[in-house]
Amino acid sequence: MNIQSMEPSTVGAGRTPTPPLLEKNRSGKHMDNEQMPTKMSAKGLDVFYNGKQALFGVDLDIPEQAVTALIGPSGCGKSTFLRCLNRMNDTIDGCDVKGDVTIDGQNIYDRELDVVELRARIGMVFQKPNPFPKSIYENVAYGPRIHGLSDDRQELDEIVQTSLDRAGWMNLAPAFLAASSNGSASPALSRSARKLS
Amino acid sequence: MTESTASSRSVREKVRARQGKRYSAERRFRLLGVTSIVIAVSALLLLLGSMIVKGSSAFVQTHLLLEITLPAEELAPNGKPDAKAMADANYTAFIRRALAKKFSDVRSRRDKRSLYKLISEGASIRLQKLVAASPDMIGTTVPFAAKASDDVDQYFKGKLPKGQTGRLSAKQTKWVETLREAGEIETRFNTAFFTNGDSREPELAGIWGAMMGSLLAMAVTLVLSFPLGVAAAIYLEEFAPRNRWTDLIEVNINNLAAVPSIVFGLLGLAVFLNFFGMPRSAPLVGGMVLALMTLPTVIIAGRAALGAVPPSIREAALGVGASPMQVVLHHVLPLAMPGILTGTIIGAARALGETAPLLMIGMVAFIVDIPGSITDPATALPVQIFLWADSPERAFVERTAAATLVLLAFLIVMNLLAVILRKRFERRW
Repeated sequence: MNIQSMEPSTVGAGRTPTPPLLEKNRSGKHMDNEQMPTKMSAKGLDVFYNGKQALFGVDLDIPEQAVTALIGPSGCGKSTFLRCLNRMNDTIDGCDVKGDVTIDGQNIYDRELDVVELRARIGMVFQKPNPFPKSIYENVAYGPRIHGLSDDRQELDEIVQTSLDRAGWMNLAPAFLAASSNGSASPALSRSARKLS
Repeated sequence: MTESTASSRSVREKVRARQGKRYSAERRFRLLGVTSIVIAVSALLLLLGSMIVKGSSAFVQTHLLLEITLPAEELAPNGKPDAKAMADANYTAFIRRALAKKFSDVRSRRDKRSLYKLISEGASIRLQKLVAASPDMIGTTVPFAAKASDDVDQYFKGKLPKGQTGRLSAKQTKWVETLREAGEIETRFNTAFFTNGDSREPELAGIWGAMMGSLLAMAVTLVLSFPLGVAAAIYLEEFAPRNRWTDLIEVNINNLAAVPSIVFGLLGLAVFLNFFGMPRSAPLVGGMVLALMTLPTVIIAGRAALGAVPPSIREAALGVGASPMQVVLHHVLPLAMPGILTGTIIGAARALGETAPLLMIGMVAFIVDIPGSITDPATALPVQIFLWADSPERAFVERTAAATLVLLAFLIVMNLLAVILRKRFERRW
């Protein structure tokens, strides 16, 4: 696996290992890779699918406030590694995870750790789109609702609106928010968005 | 390029040569499919048709149109309608007087008795109810449609073989023909069929008692088998570990679905009636036995429906941080609901038509009263059909077919409901 820490603006451009670039964090200050604290790290990670080994002793530190990209040919274990980070591999029968994965120094495979809370903290975006067969609003509001972030309708509206803004669906937000309150589909919704509702 | 043109031409020729055979094979296959459908539908139509032909006459009942005098001195002795007098009065005598007046030439006692046999025993009860409902009729002569006996009914409807008069004597036949010519005998809608319980007299027998028994048993079955079955399916499909024990359970459940229904009846007899001492012939016990029968069907259909939900939905929910129970309740179960409902309704429809297990637990008795609760003795519709099929009176032949039609109608409605519910709950994405 070829591992590189990259600047967000150059995602997808890595082909050959480049000399360490000066990193800009969100506040605009220049920082070195080595100065970024490690958010998550894997040590000696072995993953077995029904006895067949898929990952062989992976050691990786993932720094904070940066985009880390995993590049490799298909079937080399990228998804397997990613799924180890939020314990999604627990749902697969016959999948065995050995080794350490830590977030902020805490081992996430600790028996006492609440998996649900972990997944609320470490989100996951899937390769293929898999929205719930509900309205867009419900899709976005589901997470906050089940974690008890808000029960108030107005607060949820705000959370949903902010999330959609951040995802770049600003033009969509007012249209369907109006729809969600009066229940009718707005003609301003694009076709793909209509499919999601 | 030239070599390939030559070879591609021979390829084209070969393809064209084979096409004829392929199309005729296609046609044969289609014909086979159409033929099978035609055979199946014909068998169904034959069954339905024979039932309709035999049973449609049961929906009408012969009545004699009489003019009945309601004497005030017997019903309202003090000038006012008296409840006790109205209850005790001999309504049969009123009907007989009216009939005798119509056939004034009938003198001898024997002949008169023969004449009175034309009327059903239930006619007097109906007259009593009529008088109780409108007491202002007392002292007047009212037109009244008296229910004819089942022998007259079968003869009048033309159900007897050519030339035969069944149990009617020559004189009785003559009287009926006289009435027919005068237009004073006719068939009316047989409401008693739908409102009465079972009876020894065919003209008074109805399916309502059996229907109530069936409906109550069905209610018990659904209340027991649906929650248990769905919960079991959810556990087995979503939460249970995959090991030898769960494999064993799965094999056993699949086998239970194939067990002959009479075995469940024997189980009900041995455990529910003998060991637990529950009331015999009660819809409660019938419902429990049928629930045991329906449970495997619900579990199997439930597991299939849950398994058909794409794992991407589960992953998406887990990725957002939903707990396993929330994943199932909020996402998987709603998507699996159409399949689960279909399986449940099909299982319930099968249970509605089952006779053998109910025979074993006693829902086969001759029960006249309409059951009021799940612990009252009752019978069920398929059992009622079975009992009537065995009865000697000719009039029960058409009633058996009519009851079968009612049962079939119910099954069709339930299956239609399954289709509609499935369509309504189906989610597309």
